[in-house]
Amino acid sequence: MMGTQLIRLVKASIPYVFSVSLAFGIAGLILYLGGYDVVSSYRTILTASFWNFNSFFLTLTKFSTLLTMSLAFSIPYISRKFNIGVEGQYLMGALGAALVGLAMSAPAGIHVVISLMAGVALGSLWASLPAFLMARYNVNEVISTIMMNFIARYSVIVFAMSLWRDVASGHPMTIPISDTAALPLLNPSPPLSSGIIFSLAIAALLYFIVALTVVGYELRATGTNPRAAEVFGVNTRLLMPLSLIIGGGIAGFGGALDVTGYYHRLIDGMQSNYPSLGILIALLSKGKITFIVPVAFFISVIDVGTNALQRIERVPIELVLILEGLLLVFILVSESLRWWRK
Amino acid sequence: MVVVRPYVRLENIYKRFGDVEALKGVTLDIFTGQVLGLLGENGAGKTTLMNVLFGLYKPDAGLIYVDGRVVRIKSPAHAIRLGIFMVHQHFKLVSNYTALENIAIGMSSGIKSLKPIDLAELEERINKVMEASGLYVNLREKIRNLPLGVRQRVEILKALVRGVKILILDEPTTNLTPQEVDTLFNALRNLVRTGLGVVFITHKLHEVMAVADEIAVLRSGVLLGRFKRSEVDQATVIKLMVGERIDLEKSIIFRGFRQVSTSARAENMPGPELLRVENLSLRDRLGTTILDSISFTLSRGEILGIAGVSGNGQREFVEVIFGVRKPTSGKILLEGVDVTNSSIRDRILMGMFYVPEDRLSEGISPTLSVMENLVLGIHFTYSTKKLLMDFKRVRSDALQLIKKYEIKTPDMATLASKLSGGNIQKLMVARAFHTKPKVLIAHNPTRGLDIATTERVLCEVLGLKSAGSGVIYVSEDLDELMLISDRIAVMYKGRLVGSLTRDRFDKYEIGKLMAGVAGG
Repeated sequence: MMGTQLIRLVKASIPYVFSVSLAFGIAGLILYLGGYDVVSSYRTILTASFWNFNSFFLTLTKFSTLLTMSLAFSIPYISRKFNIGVEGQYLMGALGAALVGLAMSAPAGIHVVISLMAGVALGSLWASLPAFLMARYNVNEVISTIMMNFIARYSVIVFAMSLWRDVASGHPMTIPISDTAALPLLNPSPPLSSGIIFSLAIAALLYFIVALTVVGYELRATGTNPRAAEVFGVNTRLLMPLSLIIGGGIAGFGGALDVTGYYHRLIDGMQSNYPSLGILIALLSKGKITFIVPVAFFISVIDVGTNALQRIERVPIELVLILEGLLLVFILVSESLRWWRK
Repeated sequence: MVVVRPYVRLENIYKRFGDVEALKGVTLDIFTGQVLGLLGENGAGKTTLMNVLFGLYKPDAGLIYVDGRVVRIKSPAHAIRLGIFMVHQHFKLVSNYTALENIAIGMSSGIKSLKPIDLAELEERINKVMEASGLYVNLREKIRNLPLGVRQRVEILKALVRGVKILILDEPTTNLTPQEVDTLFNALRNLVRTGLGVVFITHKLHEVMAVADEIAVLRSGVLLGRFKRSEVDQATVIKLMVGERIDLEKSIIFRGFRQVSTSARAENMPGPELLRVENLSLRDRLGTTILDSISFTLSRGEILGIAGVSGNGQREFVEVIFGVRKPTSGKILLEGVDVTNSSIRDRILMGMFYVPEDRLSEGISPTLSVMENLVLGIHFTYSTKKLLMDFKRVRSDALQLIKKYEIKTPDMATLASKLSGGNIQKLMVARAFHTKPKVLIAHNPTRGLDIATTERVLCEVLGLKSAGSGVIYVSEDLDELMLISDRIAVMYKGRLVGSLTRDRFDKYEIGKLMAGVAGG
C-alpha cells in the first residue's frame, strides 16, 4: 500500500515539476534576451536563500508569514468557503497586537501573550461579520471579505497616523511597541524571531485537528459535499461560518506574530503581496496542510531568490516581479491543465 | 425462409470508460417490424450500446451498418436522419413548451429553420400517428403539466412523426403505472405491425416476455445470446443474465417473480407501533402545497412500501421524516417521542437512518475516502471522548462492510468519487444497514444495482423486518415493492392515498391510485 501511495505522489508531482521547469525556461529566455547571465541567475534564484544566515533567516521570516496566511485560507477552504479576507484579518491582528503593545504595560512574558491574543481576537472578529452575514443572510463570503480588506487597510492608516504615530517617518507607521511586548529572538544577530516556531506549531495543530478529530472530519465532509454532510446530520450551517472565523483568527495571529516578532510596530502596507501569495499556496496545495508547508517554503525561497536577482545580477525590479509572476502563473496553470492524463 | 437484411447492424463494438470496459465486442442486428428486447442487469452495457448507435458515444472499435452501409454516426441529429431515435430514461423535453412545440423542435435545420413551422399541418400529421399507434396526447398542453407517462408518449410521437425506422426505448416502464405500461405495450405491438423496429432496453425479464419478439441478453459488455420469445426457456435467460452468482431457488427476486408461494414468506402480525406521523404538511416558499396532511403509522417488523410516479412528493416526504426539511405543520413521533423538530443527529441516535435517492448529490462525500464515507452520519460514534476519531475502529468496520457488500474499490483509502455508480449505491446501503436502524427510510435503494446486489439489499431489508425494525421503502419499482412490502401506500400529488395490505395487493389497483384515478 505504501508503494502505490508513493506512485500516486510521484504521479501527482509530475505536472508541478514540469510546469516549474517550463516557467524557469521562459524566465531564462527573458533573462537571456535582456542580456543577463541565465545560468548564474538561476543559481541566484534557487540558492540565494542559503548563502548566509541573513538571507536564510529572511526566508524563514517570509515563510512564517506565508504559512499563517495560507493556513488562514485553507481552513475555510476545507469546508468550501473562500476566505479572501486573509489580508484584512492579518492587518487587524497586527493592529490589535500593536495596540496592546503600545497602550498597555505588563511584565515581559504576559505582555507578548496578551498581544498575540489580541491579534487572534481581532482577526477572528474581522471574519465574524462576513461569517454572520453568510450564515444569516446568505451573503457571499468572497465579496464581504474583500470589502472587509478595504476597511482594514484604511483602519491601519488611520491608527498609524493618530496617537502613536511615528512622526520621524514619512510613511504611515506607529512608534515601536514596548520591549515587553516583543517576541523573544531565536538568534540575536542576524535576528530571527521565534514566530517561525509558532507558525509551525499552528500548522501542526491544525493538521491534527483536520485529520484526526471529529470536527475535522465534519469540516472535510462539509467541504467535499455540503448537501450530503447536511443530510447525514452534520451541522454545516454552523461549521461553515465557524471555519471562516477560525481562519480569521489564524490570519490575525500571523499579523500579531509579525508585529511582535519582526516589525515591532504597525506599518501601513506591511502585508505586502503575501495575502495573495498565501491564498495561492493554499489553492496549489488544495488546502492540504501537509502540502502547504513545503509549498510555502518553496515560494519563500523563490521570493528571496528573485529579490536577490536585482542586487546580484542587476536585473531591474520590474523584471524580477514579472519573473516571479510568471513562475506562479505556470504553477497555477499546471493545477488546472491535467492534459498529461490524456 | 427469406433472409431479411437487418436495418441496423452493430459489429464488434468496443467501448471503454477509464478502467471499465463497458462493451467488449458486441455484434447485434436490429430488424424493422419487430420488438427486440435488450435484456441485462444494470451496468451490463445496454444503454451504452444504444448510446453508441444514437451517436452519443463514439465506439473505440467496431462498425455500424445502417441499411447495409457502413456509417460513422456523429451525433444524435445524424442518427435521427438515419432513421434511428432514442428515448432516454430522462426525457429531453422543454418543460414550458407545449407537446406540439416540443415535437416541432429540430424538425428543420440550417437556413430552413428560419421559416416558420406550419403547426396546423404538423398537428394533423401527429393526429394520424396518434390514431395509428394508440398513443394519445393533448398536444396543446405544456409539458410541465403532463404526467411522466404522457411525456414519454410525446417523446415517442416525436420519433414517429419523423418517420424513424428504429425506435430505442431505454427502460421505458420506469415511472409508468401498470395501466400505462399496458398502453405502451399495445402501442408498440401496433407500431411494429406497421414496420417500425423497436429496441426495448430493460432489466426485467417479465417485460421482455410480455412485449418482445426476440430477446438479446447482455452481461458485462458481452452479448451472450439471442432468442425468439416463443422458444425461450426463462431459466436459461435468467442464468445468462445474472451468471452463476445467484441461487435461483433461494432468490427472493425470482421466487417472487415466479409467484410460487407467498406463504414461504413469514407473515407475522404487526408489532407495536414504532413511528406515528400525524397530519404532516409541507408548503414551499410560494405557498404551494408539497405534502398534504399525511398520516400513517409504522409498526415494528413492518415494511411500508410507498409507491407512486416520481415527483409526487416522495423526496420531500422522506426528507421531512428524516429531518432534512422541517414540515410546515404536523407531528412525527418515534416510539412515542415527538421528533418533529429534532435534529438529524438526534434522529440517528434514536435509531433512524436514511438511504437518499440521489446518490451523487446527497449520498457521498466525493473527496473523502471510502472508509470515511462508510461512517458518515454515525461518525461521531467513532470518537474517543467526542473529540478524536477512532480511525482504527472505522478501518476495521469499513473492511468488513466492503467485503460483505462487495464494494469494488482498490482499497478503503480510495476516494469515494472513484467508485462506479453501482458501488456508490452499495456504499450507501452498507452504511445504512451497518447502523442497524430501528426505522430505515430508503428511497430507491436498489436503483442501478445489479441483481445479485439488489437481492442482497432486499434480504437485508427483510432481515431488519425480522429483527423488529420498521422500514419505509419508497420506490418507483412496483414489482419490488409488491415483493417485500407488508403494506403499500401510494403517493399522489403530495397525498398518501390508499393503503393496501399484502393480501390485497393488486397491480392495477395500485396503478389507479398512482394515476390519481381512484382512492382518496
